[in-house]
Amino acid sequence: MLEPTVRTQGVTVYRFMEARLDAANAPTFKDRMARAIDQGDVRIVLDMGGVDFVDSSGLGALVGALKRVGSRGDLALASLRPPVQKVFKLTRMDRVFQIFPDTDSAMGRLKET
Amino acid sequence: MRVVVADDDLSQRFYLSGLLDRMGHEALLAADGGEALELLERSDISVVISDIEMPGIDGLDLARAVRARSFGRYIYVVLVTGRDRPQDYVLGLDAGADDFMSKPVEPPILEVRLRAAQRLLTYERELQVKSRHLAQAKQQIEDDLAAAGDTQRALLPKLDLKLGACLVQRLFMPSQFVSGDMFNYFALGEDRIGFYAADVSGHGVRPALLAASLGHLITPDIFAETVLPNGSPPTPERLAERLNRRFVNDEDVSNYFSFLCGVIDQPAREVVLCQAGHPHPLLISGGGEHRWLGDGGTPLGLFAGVEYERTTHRFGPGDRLIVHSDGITEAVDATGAQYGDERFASFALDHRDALARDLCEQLIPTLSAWTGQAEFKDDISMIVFDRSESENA
Repeated sequence: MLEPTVRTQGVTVYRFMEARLDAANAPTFKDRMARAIDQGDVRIVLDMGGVDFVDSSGLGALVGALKRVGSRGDLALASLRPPVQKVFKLTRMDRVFQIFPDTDSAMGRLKET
Repeated sequence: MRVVVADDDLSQRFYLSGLLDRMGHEALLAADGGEALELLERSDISVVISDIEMPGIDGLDLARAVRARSFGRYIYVVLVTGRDRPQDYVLGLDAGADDFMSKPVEPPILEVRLRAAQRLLTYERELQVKSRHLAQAKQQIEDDLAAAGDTQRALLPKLDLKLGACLVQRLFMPSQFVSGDMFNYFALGEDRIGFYAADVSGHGVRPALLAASLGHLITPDIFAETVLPNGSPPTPERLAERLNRRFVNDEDVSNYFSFLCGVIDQPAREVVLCQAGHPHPLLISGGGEHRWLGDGGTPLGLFAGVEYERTTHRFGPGDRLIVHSDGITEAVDATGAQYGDERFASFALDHRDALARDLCEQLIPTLSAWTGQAEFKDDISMIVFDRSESENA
């Protein structure tokens, strides 16, 4: 579900491998993120390029991960597809998360901090 | 144990029944397969010992007939073979026999065969008891959930409710018994209508509990005191902020919900909204144009200290306002495509001249046709406010 694709200078890129982040897989996603964060991955770029749909449970899991990282580091989202962007806009999560058009620009920013 | 013994040979029947009698069992005798079946039908006996070769219904036919019928219990079939032929075992097992004995039947062999039967039947009876208990438990849970669903429905406003110059209709369809959706609407004085809709994240009982508690919490009095503290203008954002303070939890984000509340001001021909992550309401004007209202907003219960905003929109005579939950637009077809905003808007426009009641009734078959299923994965709810054409209808 969640694969680390790049690890460099303290920043890890995780790719979410499923097409939907919803009630069915949100609990697993939440656990996997929590484990990664608690193991010290606190500067994370989450590549959402393959995700077509995020429902309210999925959104809750993302916010949970953001809160878990907290002030310890950063959680940035990259490559949101239009339907997901729409949900982020409706729920104003586009103002809560750091969102980048692609993983490179997200990594560039996270490496600076 | 009671056992049916089937053999066309009288001396064999007596021999076997004598053995069984001495072992403390009781034999009921049948001269062929047909009689054996009758005995099984009329009693609660679960073991039959039958000769393979009999005129009429023979042992193999009997085994097949036993398997084909439903006795409501397992029947253990032991076939007795005259000659030790391998094909008898193949045919016997194929017909549904559980075990075999060859003639002459030796008492120790009969005894272990019956013990094997007893073992299996005991196991089968235990399973039956367990599955009966499970079915009862499931029924109990379903009855409780259905009762909880009725309790939740009792919190909803009346169907076809007339509030001032507005006729309000609603659709409420939990995906299973209870719903994570909740809404209400009520008159605020003579000229105004207050309403809210909430959709708690997740499916099942946990979100439904929160949804129902919102239903109890947001009374018309609480609504009025929060949203109309000084009469005018309405401040629906204060209700959102108040609920957010009440439900925000820094540790846990599983209990959050999207929310929309507003006030319809009939003389002012306006609706004032506060949108907190709930889908944009759809306005269909009397002239047949449609618009999605609101600028979005953070759902409630996620972050402390969020400031909410209100937006004001025209809502005049002949206009229709539709407030819906995302269970409608996020319903997916077999390929995973969502019903979506555009199709929903087209549906609403196609039914622009229909009564709100018919709009609500038509939505379900329309969505079912989209998903290809009679039941929906997410809770569905919708409120339709129809402002009458005349000023003081």
